[in-house]
Amino acid sequence: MIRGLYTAATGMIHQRNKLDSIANNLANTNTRGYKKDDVVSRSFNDELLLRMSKGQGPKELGPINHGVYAERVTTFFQDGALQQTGLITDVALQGEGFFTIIRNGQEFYTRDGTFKVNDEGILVTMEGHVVAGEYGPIEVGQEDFEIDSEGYVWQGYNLVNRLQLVNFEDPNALEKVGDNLFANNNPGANPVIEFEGQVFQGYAEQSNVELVDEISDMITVSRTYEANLRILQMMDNVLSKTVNEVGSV
Amino acid sequence: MIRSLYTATTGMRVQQHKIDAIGNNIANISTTGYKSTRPDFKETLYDVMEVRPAQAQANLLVGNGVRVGSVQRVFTQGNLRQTNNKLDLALEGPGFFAIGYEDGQNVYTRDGTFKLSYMPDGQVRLDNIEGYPVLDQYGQPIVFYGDISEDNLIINQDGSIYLTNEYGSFYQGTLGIYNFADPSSLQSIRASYFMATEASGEPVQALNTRVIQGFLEQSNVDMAQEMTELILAQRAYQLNSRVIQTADEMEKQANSLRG
Repeated sequence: MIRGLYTAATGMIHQRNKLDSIANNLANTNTRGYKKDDVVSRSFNDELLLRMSKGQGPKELGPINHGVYAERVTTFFQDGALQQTGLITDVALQGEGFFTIIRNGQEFYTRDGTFKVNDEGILVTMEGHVVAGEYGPIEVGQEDFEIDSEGYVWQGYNLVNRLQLVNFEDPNALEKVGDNLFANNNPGANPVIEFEGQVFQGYAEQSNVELVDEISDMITVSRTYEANLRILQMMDNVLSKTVNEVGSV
Repeated sequence: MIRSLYTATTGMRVQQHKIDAIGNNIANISTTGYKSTRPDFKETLYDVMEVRPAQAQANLLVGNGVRVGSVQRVFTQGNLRQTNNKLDLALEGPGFFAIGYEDGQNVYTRDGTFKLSYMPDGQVRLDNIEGYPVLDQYGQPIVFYGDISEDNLIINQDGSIYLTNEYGSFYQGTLGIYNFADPSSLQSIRASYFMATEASGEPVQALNTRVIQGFLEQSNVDMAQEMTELILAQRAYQLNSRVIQTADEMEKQANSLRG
């Protein structure tokens, strides 16, 4: 009886974790380059239920598990829709891969290609972190520039630099660190591979959160939570009967 | 539960910010030389989700919502509207007119609605519509002497000003057209007036910019785009408030577990 109480509770806790994740997706529906998260659930390990009865050995009743927990959070790296902005400093990627950003001397990766040119003529993010090129920072000065579909930066016929575009063997092993950035904490196990997508200048990649999916997920979460709660109440009722009524005169 | 509530609150807050920006853009749709703004959103920090049994945490991150990273001013060219007024000037290409304020502070604008001011000492000065002097390429006010009216002023595309009368055409000075290394870091002081900041860099002579006499640059606000953004922002706001409702409902159910 008590076991059922705890199982229902794990269900409630898990739905709450899922709602946290959905809330974050919905908060970021207008964040450029945001990639949606989803909580993957997993059952606790099965245990074999045995019945002990007098005179006989234990009898197997079959497996049971004690509920559910969040095993991992998967990030969906599908492309977001491209919005045309017409700004030469807005760059979007299609296909799996990332821009490389240098923040405090460390490399971070992002899909948010909202850049600007700073007072030194270098291409930086809106927060002033340098956008990495294959030959160092991308110096464009005050002149207009073009970025072609492979990420080469041109001024007229002059090749200025090339955006450092990367992809990873397992993008899901990247860690979100906020500010639309991803970090690769384990470069040994998750090596950089060639970026095979396309670069679009003058576009911004929208968040890939689908409102309808999130809303239906949210309804499911709230109903599942409610169902777990009912089970909990039922268990409580049964316990109450056991404690208060069985054996009463 | 508490996390979802706060996360959704951050979502509502940034959408509110976006709606404010859209409102300001639409309000300035007919402000000469106005440049639209757009907020840029960033995810806030990620936390490790609390899960039992405890396990490798690298893949169990949950975000705390969103914040406004920066507000970007979009310096794309606005449409030029013909006014036939000789002292209406528009800029084509990057750059700003410089206006000298009282305290020696220069402000920069693309609003070229200028006029002639007749000073008490008989000088005639080129001013903006508020009566502050328009500066030339050396940062000095542009003053004319003698008999002058706006009908006989010719302003060329390079900003040079000529006075024409029956004796010929006389050079009077050149308008200063300035640009900045990073115009997006200029500080906006009023709808279409800006001040230099440390991040924007010092004003330098603008290149490839033409002065067009008899035209004004309209704001670069695109109504259709603003309305689309408004609808999106409003829906996102609604959805975030639904999250708050759901979280509240779930909390309430848990609270009334023992009825």
